[in-house]
Amino acid sequence: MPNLAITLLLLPMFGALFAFVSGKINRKFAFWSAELIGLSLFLITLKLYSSYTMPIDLPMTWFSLGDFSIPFGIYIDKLSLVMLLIATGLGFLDIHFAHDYMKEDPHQPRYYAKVLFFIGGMILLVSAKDMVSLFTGWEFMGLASYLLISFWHEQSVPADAGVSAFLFTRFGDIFLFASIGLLFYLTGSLDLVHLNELATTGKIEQNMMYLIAVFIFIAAIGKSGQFPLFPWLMRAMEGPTTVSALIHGATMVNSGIYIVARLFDFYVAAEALIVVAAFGAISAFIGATSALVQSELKKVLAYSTMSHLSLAFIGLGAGSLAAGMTHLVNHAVFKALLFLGAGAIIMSAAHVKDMWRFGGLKAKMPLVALFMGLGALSLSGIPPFSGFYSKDAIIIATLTNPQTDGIISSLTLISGILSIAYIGRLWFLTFAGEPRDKELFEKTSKPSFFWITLPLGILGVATLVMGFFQGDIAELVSGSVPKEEHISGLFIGLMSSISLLGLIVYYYFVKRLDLTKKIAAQPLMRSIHKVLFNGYFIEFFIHYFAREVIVDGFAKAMNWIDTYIIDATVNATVSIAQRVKTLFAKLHSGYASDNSGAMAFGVLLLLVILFVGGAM
Amino acid sequence: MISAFTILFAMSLVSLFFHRSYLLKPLSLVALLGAGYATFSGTVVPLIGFATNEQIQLFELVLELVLFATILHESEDITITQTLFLGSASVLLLQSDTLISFILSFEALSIISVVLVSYIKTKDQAEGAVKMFIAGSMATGIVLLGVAFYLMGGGMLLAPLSTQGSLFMGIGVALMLAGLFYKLTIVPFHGWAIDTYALVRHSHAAILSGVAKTVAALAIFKIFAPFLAEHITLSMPLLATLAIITMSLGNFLALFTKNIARILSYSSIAHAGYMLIAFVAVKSSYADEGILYMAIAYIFMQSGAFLALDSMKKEYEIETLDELKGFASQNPILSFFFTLQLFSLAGIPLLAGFLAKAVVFYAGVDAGLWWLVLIALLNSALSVGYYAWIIKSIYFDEGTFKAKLVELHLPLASQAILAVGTLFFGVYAGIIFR
Repeated sequence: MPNLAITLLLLPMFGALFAFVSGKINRKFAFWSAELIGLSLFLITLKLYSSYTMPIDLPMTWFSLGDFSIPFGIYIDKLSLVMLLIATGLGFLDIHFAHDYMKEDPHQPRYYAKVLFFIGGMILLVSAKDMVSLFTGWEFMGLASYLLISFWHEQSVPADAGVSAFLFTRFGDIFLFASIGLLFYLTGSLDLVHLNELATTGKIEQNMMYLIAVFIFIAAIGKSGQFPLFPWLMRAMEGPTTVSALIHGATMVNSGIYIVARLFDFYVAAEALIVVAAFGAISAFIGATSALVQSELKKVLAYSTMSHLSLAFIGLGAGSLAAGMTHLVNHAVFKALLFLGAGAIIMSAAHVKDMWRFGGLKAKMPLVALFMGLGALSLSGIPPFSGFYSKDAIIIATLTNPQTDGIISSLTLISGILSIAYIGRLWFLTFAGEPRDKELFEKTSKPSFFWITLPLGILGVATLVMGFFQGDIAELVSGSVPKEEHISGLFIGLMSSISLLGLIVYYYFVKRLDLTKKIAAQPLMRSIHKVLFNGYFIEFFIHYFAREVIVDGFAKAMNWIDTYIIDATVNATVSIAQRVKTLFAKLHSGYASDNSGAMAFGVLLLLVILFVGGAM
Repeated sequence: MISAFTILFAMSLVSLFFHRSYLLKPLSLVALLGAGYATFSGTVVPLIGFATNEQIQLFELVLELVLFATILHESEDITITQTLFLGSASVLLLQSDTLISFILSFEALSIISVVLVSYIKTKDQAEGAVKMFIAGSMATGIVLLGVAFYLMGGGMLLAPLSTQGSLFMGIGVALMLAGLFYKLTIVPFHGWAIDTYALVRHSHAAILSGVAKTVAALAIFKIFAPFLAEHITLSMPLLATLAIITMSLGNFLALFTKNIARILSYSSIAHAGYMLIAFVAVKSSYADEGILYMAIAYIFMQSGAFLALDSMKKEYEIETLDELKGFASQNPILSFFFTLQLFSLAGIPLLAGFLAKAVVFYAGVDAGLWWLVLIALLNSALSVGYYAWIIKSIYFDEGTFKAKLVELHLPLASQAILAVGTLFFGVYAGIIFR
């Protein structure tokens, strides 16, 4: 088994290289080698899963010098395996889907190499035993996401989006790095499992533990696109849709939640879960409300990702590891489904992303409409789809936990119910009604079954089937089956409000589309729309702060110090260096006789020194 | 089991018959692979007075890899033969255990080095070769004088170096070290190196400054470390002074030079100064790991940099910083490899050069020589200046180029091997600290 685990770690890295090189020989090879490697990664993970008896524990060291050693270990338990299944399984389907989606692109070798590298980063992250290997995977993914989002770097918007993603996640990474330093200094151990034990036995000081937990959470916020570090998530939509599916479903955004789940006992002991829940609630609300008004297909999904990851964070924050993680697993599947579905639509509709130009597409692609409908039902929490169970569990967890009952639970409830509104709006605007852009409708082609619809079908069936195995998934991710708690009236209330909202959306966006313009014309509605559409202007605030405070204030001060103190000092040393150089250069004439003379002189001097020093 | 020395020596003799044949290079490469396997299985030179250990074995493997890359790069038949000769002498020197075997192998290495650069085609090459020859013969004289004194003091030739410090023995060891330091280019025995490294063919300079120097450093350390540790009160201040002068001289002179080969030869002198820190910190238990790491890192980065320069000269006749301007747009791959080795020389983390310096400096601090380490740190900060200057020329300046003279393929493969070595030992350090 350890060999298989090592293979799983190394294969994507070498595979990336292989796909790139073989793709240079013939562009088609890039896809096929990536497909093959993606499939073998998934099969290896399945093999690891099926023969699982106990965690694979490989405590390796990067290097050690004296008492100082840096670990680089691998640890694969059930939680890691579930994350691995998501990363490799969805990753494989994503690669498969890309066959058609990226067919026209001339840079396929680069694309598949980056995707495999990306998956490799995620594999390393979730099978890390200690903070060092986790951080390495974390940084690999940061780099890969930058490279993938700005894949079409010839255009300025994707390039800027890549930089934005890099900077936002980087901001969080600094805190993760700081927490690694603090942990190493305080405990001398970076082992994730060991840290949980240390925390529960109270070996670390409470305040420091809280600080470290918050630091790690800031990094998680950055990676998982939570308030206030979410703007990059929306900008990341500039990349290929397959990349969005990979980032939002299979890999990157899950890593923030994974790290909190991995250190769950640490967070419990540090009493930092309430912070997680509070930020989660704010993000869930912002995400859900902003998703309501977006006009781009992918932006709706991006905001819904933010909202649903926040639900997972809230689940963790409310003290239920099982609820949070099952929601993460369920979300990964249906969100990958929705993104790939969006990719299918965008690809068929000549790369138009604006929902207002679609409509009536179910006539053109009935299967895609069906499977996206399954994903939408799961996302909005309709039984028996998987999304229902985990969302229900999260809401119950917030209501039963006295710490989160109140504002947090009501925000959770609102954003949970609003899911139907934005996803219903997306589905109705795209598939139902009459085509609004006739020309585009005529141009829209039928997607291929094997490359496009089949992956959607697999995911659609998966999100339905997974609903019947929620207990097993919860047992896998949290180690215990959570006991069923019921709050009387909650189910009825949820279902009736969801169906009511669904009906309103149907009526509003299918039957009376003309009403939207009238309502949007009102000044109050217009300003609300503006706020929601721009994601509460958070990005604007961050940019303003960065420009006014950091660039204009801090950077100017640093520039002054740099020019008048550091540069002045350096300039002063130049003349000194010049003089020293002249002195040395004088000693070297370049004549062989002088060289020999210097050697003889050196020997003589050596003997004299030895004599004076008392050796003779 | 047949030893690496035997394989290399036999191949170097056989290779004479394959000159002007396509088989020469493949055969030599296969012989090096065979030597690598022989080294891996722990064979020793089948003569009295030779022994090996794990560290030496590791370095020999690295050496054979670097020679592999060198031969892959090389296009002159005679140089390939001599590289193989030099390889066999290096194995001898590394495995030598007694004084006589050490002195003889060292002389073999010196003579082959001179023979290597004696394949003269231009006036500059003649100057470089002659300077090296004069310095080398002088150094041999000094070493032999030292041996004579050492024997007068009661030393034995057929035994490892004694650690006793009788009067004549002390003088003998001091003289021997002085003579040996010529190969290490320690000031004031460095004069020849400044010119020779810069004037002879760059691929020869790669072998001289990359291979021969590191082999000598490691072998000298292996033989003399017990003696130096025994007489630390005398050896410490003396060697520390030499180390400071050597690295400062190398770095300061390199700062104001325009010729790239000359910059590299100054930087080579500066690195000899860093290596000497391990000799000073011999009391620390990390000193031997430090010198081993330094040798491994240095053999990769120095050979890589000089071989890359050789390719540049062949391609576009690049000699100075001005001619190098904008090279990245002409040959991005070679530029990348060259830059990587320069970064390693400057000591950028995650490359071998960084960890090598870190371990040597760590050994220095461990031996209580923080002031020496501080000076070395300032020196290496200074050195970043001229490496960065080269990299700036490659990437950020606009330049004009003549038509490309030759198309290079094998040299790029050789560069890739050396770059992987630099990266591997920069990231995966565990293999050395066992």
